[in-house]
Amino acid sequence: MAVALPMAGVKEDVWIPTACDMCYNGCTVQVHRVDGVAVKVEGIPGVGPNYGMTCAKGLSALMNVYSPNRVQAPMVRTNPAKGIGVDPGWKEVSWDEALDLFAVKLKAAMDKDPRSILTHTFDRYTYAVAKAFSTAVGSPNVTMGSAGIFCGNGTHPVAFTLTASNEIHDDLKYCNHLLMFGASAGFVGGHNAMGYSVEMQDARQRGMKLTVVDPVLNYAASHADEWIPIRPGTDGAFALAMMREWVIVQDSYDKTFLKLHTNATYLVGADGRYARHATSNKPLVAIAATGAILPYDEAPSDEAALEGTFTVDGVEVTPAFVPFKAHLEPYTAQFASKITSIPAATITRVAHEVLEAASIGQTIQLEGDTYPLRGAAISWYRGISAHRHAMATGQLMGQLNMLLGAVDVPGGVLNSSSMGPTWRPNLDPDGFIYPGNPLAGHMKPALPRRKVSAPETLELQELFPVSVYARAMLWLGLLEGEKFGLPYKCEVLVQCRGNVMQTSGDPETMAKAFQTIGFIVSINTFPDETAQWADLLLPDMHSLERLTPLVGNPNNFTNSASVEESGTWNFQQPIVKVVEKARNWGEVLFDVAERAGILPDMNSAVNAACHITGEYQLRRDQKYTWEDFADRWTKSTVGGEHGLDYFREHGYLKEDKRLAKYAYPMIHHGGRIPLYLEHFLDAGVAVKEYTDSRGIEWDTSDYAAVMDYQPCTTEKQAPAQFDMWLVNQKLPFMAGTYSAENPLLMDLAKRNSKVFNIGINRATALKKGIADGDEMWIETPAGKKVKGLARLTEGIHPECVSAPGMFGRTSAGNKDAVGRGVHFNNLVAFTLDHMDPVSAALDSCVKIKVSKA
Amino acid sequence: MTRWGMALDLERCVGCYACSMACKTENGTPDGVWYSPVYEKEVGTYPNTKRMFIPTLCMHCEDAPCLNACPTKAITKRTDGIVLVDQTKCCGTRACVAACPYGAMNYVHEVQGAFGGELIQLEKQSFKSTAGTVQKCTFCSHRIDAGKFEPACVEVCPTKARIFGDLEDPGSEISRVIRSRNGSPARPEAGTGPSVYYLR
Repeated sequence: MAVALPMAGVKEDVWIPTACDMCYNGCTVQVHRVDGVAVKVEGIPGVGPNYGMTCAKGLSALMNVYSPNRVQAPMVRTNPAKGIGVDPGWKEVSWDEALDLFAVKLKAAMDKDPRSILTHTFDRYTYAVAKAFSTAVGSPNVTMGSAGIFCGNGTHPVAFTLTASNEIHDDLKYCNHLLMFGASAGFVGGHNAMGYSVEMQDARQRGMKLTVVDPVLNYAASHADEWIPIRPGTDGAFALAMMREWVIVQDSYDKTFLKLHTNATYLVGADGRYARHATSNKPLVAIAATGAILPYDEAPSDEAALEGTFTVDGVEVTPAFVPFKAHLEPYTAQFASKITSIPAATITRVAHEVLEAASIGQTIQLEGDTYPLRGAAISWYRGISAHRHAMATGQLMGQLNMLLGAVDVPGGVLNSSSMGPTWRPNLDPDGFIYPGNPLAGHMKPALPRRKVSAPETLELQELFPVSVYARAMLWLGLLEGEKFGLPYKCEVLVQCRGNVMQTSGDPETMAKAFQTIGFIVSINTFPDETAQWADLLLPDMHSLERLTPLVGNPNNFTNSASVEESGTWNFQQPIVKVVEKARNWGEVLFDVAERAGILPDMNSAVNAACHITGEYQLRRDQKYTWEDFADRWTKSTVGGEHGLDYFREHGYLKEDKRLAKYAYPMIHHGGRIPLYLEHFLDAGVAVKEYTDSRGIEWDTSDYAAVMDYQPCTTEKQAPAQFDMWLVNQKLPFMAGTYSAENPLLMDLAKRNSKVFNIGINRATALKKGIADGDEMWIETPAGKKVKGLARLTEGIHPECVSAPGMFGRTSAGNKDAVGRGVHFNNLVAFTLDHMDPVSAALDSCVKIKVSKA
Repeated sequence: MTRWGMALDLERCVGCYACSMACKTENGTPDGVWYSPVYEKEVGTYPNTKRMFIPTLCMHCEDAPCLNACPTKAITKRTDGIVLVDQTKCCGTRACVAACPYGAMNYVHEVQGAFGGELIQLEKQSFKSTAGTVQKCTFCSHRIDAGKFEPACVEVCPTKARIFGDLEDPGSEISRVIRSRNGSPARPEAGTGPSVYYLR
């Protein structure tokens, strides 16, 4: 099957395996090439993670690679003025000139302060090379900024907390009632979009109940047994009311799970901190029957007390479950109803239905072990995360599952990668799990908490000790770094794939931030909003033109997490060369490192970032071809017999089926997960101390051991006439901004009334005198105003209007996309008080008023 | 005798358009021509709302009105039930367009590419259209004839909402699922005997 790039005049008809790049999932596909022209994309029957299926985006990828609108050659800016919609006045230069200029600017910045160099990419697969480049220049600033603004800020930390992996998947093999908050997983959205969609429809047809909580009748809600429309940003109140119903009203929750697998039994004092053993410093628990006090790991866990009052060294203490339970008291269904707009009876009914389906106490035999079997799980995504209180809401979602005992057990929410044949979670001194998977990725684990210190990074990561990243804070570091004690300014931005200008908060704020950067180099396939800011624009390869090792690996979240599913390794290989001058951005970084005289450091840093070991390590004194590097990386990671040649011949490598002990490790790994977030308390104190020392106002109220509901900032601040909310809507056939470069996807988008119009509840619209198809205004408290066509629908909360995220383009290769639809992000208030000071999420709640235009 | 048919499971279709795109890239249709579009329909009133996704394509009718209407006999039905338009015989009267109760016939005014202007090489190689003729879904007969069995739209469906098979074989998956789920054609009152069934 090994296929080289086509040669002119040679007759051929071949199918070439590769990995898709039209969203984040990296599905295995094959491309039909006839006489040198790629003519079709298909899946490979049975091959994961997509099992041979391909979505509309992947199927249409050829229209991205063959687009005549791509960046064709290296170009320098001739117009020194930069701004949104300002013509850069591109002038073509040779690659040699371009790399010289790049290296000169890099060297100058390195001489001044290497930390002033920021490397950015949204390219998950080659991220490690960007990271190594950053290390080699001597900068801590490497980011995936496009992800991590509205994305997983509130979801990854809770996934790490629950499972020591960055993502959870619901176990649809055994789940009988899935309660989904703000997500479309299983409906060609989210991670493992294709494989999970089959699992979801199979589960539904076998009778699994699906309840979807979302302001919008999203793709999941369209098919759900019940859609529960909720006021934006209030999911936490719903969760708290459900927990109150289980814990206080029903006294029915998985007490065994809490005792064995959480810190609910750890004793805490009046200051909220653990009572610790005098010498070992280990948290203590009390034995219910005898009142004996023992370190948590010396006591029989199932005999430890969940409730009661005890004394340690003359100080009164209680199990952590006591304050946890007490804080639920005010969250009655009636209270939550006022916050969420969901009828109290519905909240109570759903709480009962989910609890009943959970079948607490039931077990199942799998592969010789007895596992708890839980018939209910709570899942979530962006809808709970893109808010001011993202971390709090995320943790509440986790706590719902903990009370059901539905974490890493059959039927519950599952780790995507915490356990495998050669790794398992690590345990911190307090007994909590944290990632042990060497391929865990580009986030910081949320646990254990990190030290707070004066910021070194432009994203001010040092002020976010329990987050997985602080990418959305980049603008703040760029504009106001000095205030936070950042000792330098950004001199050079190396921007490789990604469109952070369009995918962050409002572009005007990003524009101000970008104005502070001395020199921007953008390696990009299309002249998009971010490319327009470049001083040097370099043509990037399309995924079908480039060699990228290890796109998919069996140990990450794009595979099914359920038992008996198997993960897949795959890669991207050159299939066509459409833009002659395009180069792989990773290779460009090696080249510029050589010109800047830092190749030895780059090679060393690559070994570390890519985990390349032994004989495959790059030597410091040698320049490697991209192919050689890719081969070494692959062999070191997958094993010597599975280098590039293997992948060229076979295209992919399927791993063994996932064993029960890896899919359901809760009973195996011996670690615990925190129901009570004691580690947040000192994290918050440290943040407060630092920000106070700089005279900065910083809200640390969410650094609490038990999470409360707090309203989003916009709700507190917006004047009364801003009586509605703008919410975002996801589409299974569009992803990122590159979908809009694709004319076939744009044609589908134009045929779907949800894409470029503004969805508004029919009854609300009629009250406001707006008819279907009318032009209507949306106006924000910040004075932003956009016009669009009204789409009257019964599928949205009466207080909301909806628009998808990535339209209203200001610069794109595809001129058809420019100005079409609403740019949701542009209406979001991108200010510190609209961001979560714990997870660094940006709140996508926007209060608006609407009127007929 | 084989009679090819398709069952479309409305319970499983999530409206992702993979089928539409697979069809388009498989059959090389010009700009704006989609043989297998998916429509959406909101059902119910707030908050008891659902959204149905309704995939469509040529129904390959037993008694095909398009075939009967064509004055140039460009439309034929194969022995396996697949209804095809022969573009060398079609002279674009569009009688079939008017006759089809399912809106499955696409008259191609002009063979345009997706990027406007001249066709790109990919389009030159994959487009199979002639301007001034009618085109429609072929059940991917070229794939069936090549032994690939499933039409492109069926192969890609990420929720397995499309089942293709022999309607004449009572033991085939499609026959069984139509029986067990009480599948029925769209607009049965048209009386054309479609080979496409909907499972509701």
